[in-house]
Amino acid sequence: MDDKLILHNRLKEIRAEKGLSQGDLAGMVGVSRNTITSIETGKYCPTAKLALILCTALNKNFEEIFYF
Amino acid sequence: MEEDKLAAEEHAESAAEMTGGPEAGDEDALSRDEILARAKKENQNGDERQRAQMQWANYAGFIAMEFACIIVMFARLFTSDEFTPEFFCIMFTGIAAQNIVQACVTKNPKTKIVFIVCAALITACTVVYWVFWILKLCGIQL
Repeated sequence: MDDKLILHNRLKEIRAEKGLSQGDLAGMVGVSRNTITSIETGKYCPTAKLALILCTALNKNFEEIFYF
Repeated sequence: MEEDKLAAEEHAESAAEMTGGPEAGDEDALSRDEILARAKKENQNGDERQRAQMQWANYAGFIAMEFACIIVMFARLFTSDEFTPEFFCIMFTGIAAQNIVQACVTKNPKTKIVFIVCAALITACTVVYWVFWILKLCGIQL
């Protein structure tokens, strides 16, 4: 059994809810579109700083986007 | 736009309530626009994922260089009897730099001592090999 603690996210759903494309969100926070894709697909786990910047950009609390 | 601003204010207030973080009137708290503007400015030369990838690439490059040195060093050793301190110089300088940085950045006292000892030993070896190399350059036989 894999006991690794993985930080999941609802970034894709929330981004779609706000009507933003990956490029739009990437432009808002100043990261590459690939970074947004990697976060959404769980390939890259953002640092606390980037996670909070994403929360700020989407006007959401941390727990609304990220969960275990 | 107005809706977005209201949502941002609401979000800031509820986040402050939940986390005990800064409240709307706090002087230190940055506004949403300012946070996003600063984030954009910071990431102008690549975002954190790209920087992490670059670090991995540098690390892989360092390991590859060390392996190449070892291979060439042994090849030289078996094909000629000549002592080649330059390869030891390159290898040990890289490993010494790695250990010195580790010793500087490590906070745990026990681990720090291990890294300091390793860094000291490897730096001493590095200095010896550099001295050998300089003597070899000057034509002094050992």
